[in-house]
Amino acid sequence: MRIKAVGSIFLLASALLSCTPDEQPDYTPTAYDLKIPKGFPAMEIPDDNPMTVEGIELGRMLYYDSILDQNQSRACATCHVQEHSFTSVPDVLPHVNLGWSYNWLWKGDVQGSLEDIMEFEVQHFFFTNLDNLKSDAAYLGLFKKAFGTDEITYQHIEMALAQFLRTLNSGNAKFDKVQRGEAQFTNQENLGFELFFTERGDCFHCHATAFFTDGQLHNNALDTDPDPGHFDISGDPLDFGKYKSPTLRNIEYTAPYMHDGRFATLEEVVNFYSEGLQPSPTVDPLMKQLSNGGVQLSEDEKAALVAFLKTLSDEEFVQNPEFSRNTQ
Amino acid sequence: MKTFRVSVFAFILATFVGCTNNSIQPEATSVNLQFLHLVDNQPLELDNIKYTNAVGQAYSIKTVKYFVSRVTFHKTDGTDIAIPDIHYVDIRDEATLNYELSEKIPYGSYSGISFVYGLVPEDNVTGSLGLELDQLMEWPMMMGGGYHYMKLEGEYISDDVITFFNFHSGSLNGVAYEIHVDLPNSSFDANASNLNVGMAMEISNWFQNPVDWDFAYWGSGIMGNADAQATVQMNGTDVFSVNFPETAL
Ligand code: HEC
Ligand code: HEC
Ligand SMILES: [Cu+2]
Repeated sequence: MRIKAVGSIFLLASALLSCTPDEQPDYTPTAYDLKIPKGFPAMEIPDDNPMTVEGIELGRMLYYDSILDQNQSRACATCHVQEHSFTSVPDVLPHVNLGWSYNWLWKGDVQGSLEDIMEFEVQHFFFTNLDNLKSDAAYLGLFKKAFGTDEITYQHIEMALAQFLRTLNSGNAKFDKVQRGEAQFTNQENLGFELFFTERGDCFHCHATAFFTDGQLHNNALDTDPDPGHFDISGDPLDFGKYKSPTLRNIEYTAPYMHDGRFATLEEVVNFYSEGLQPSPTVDPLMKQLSNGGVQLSEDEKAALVAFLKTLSDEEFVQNPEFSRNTQ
Repeated sequence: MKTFRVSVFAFILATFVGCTNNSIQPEATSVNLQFLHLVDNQPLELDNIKYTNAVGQAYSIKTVKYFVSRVTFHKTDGTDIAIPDIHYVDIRDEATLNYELSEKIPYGSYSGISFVYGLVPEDNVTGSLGLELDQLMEWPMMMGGGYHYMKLEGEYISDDVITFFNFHSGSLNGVAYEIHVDLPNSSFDANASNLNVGMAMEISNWFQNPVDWDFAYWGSGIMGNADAQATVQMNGTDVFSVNFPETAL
């Protein structure tokens, strides 16, 4: 069905274009060759929103432009700041490897593709006023180049943002270099690596795979009287206190931590998992040392775990000029 | 590859049937697996510390997630119909509890059903089952890679303290520990368009026969413990049973 939809969009586009014979058809988007970091699975890209150079460029412009905001006061990048892996204080979720995500926002409010969460962001968070874009000659040209359309719609905005976000991929941290045999962990990092990926430290069950998240929601035992979490969405008492496991990629750059930003440092986070767990009825059984207060790490082990977490920092990602505001 | 197998199969059947009678469609049964979970022979009640194991510890069950693969139907004439599917079951996800096999089985008399609990080594390759199952069931490379065969979790009481247990099984550092289950009393005749096969897991049997499982002795996490994995494998041989319900779930 999706394929049909694309087909008819193309048909429509070409029909429209052929009606204006004096104009050169200027809808010739350039297919974009997305480079997937080694060790990552293939990314599923919807058939009706193929990645194009023009689409990504438009998405990037929009991301850095307050024109999307109903009040034109903030851009996506006001809160999603590149040097902090596209977060900022206190509870902003990062934009990293989101092309592989399907459960969105801390409370799991939205399920689906990047296009689906963009619909939420554009229409229900920014309340974008389309007239602002329609009266902007530069954007009219960019939308035409990206989608062959003279009509700017929410859907086109969302598709362009999704395309840009699919390029924000981080897979070149020290951790990745070690996996590829291009670097070596220090002894301390190696101890942290072992703690993380065995049941001694027991982080891998929820911060799993190359993305360092299992994409699921859990109550990780922060409070005896937890914030409602996914309960706010589902109304199911079993969902009380459940939040999305955030990715730990670039975690060094995204302080403070947790949905309410309660921990200022990674040391505080590790202390929490070591001895700060709080019981409540919906704590995930994966927090299996709950009755001991946590996994009870020694000071050396804590330092090692923090050192390992810092090997997930991808400097190239937070400095990549292709992800920054286009100043040309 | 699946389609390829199906068409070869259909072709052979078609030629076969073509010589004996003049119906065009070979007669075949589509099989619907239904997964049931019992404790002490009663339907499992989640999140309730109401069960007691053989060493006297009270326990509850909160999570049951596992793989069933390589379901095979053994015909009385000696041929085997092996279904290449890998099926993931999560007791909290209704959609996984009822599952139609990707291939039909020919009419005839069957002496039994077997399957693999977990994954055989060639199926147990990190990254092969798609992102979501990777995220849900990944078994870290550090312990040999692949997937958990099962995550069975709950609480137990020992010395008056309620403690979580994670009874996670899988292949550890190259030793597979999967279970090849020959279902007892699983003979049947395939003579209708549909067959319901109820696969019941008696959860209490993971904790007994031959080894009485002491939660406190084994500890809350057993993934890296080869003795524990071998014990799970031994205890698991009599966990599954089969029935043939008249109606679908
Ligand atoms: C005022 C600050 C702010 C602005 C501006 C902002 N965001 Fe966010 N964003 C947040 C916060 C806070 C969260 C987490 C909220 C939650 O989970 O409930 C978030 C979450 C997200 C998520 C979910 C990430 C995940 O892993 O689930 C996406 C995607 C996102 N924002 C995209 C955007 C886009 C696109 C824009 C511009 C159209 C934008 N944001 C503008 C603050 C902001
Ligand atoms: C049961 C699943 C689970 C386990 C096990 C787990 N985490 Fe988490 N982690 C979460 C969830 C859920 C959150 C977000 C919780 C919230 O904000 O309410 C989180 C948050 C975090 C954060 C903050 C991320 C951010 O962007 O704010 C860090 C850092 C972290 N975990 C590290 C670890 C480490 C290190 C371990 C092992 C010692 C670990 N986690 C074990 C589920 C888990
Ligand atoms: Cu496990």
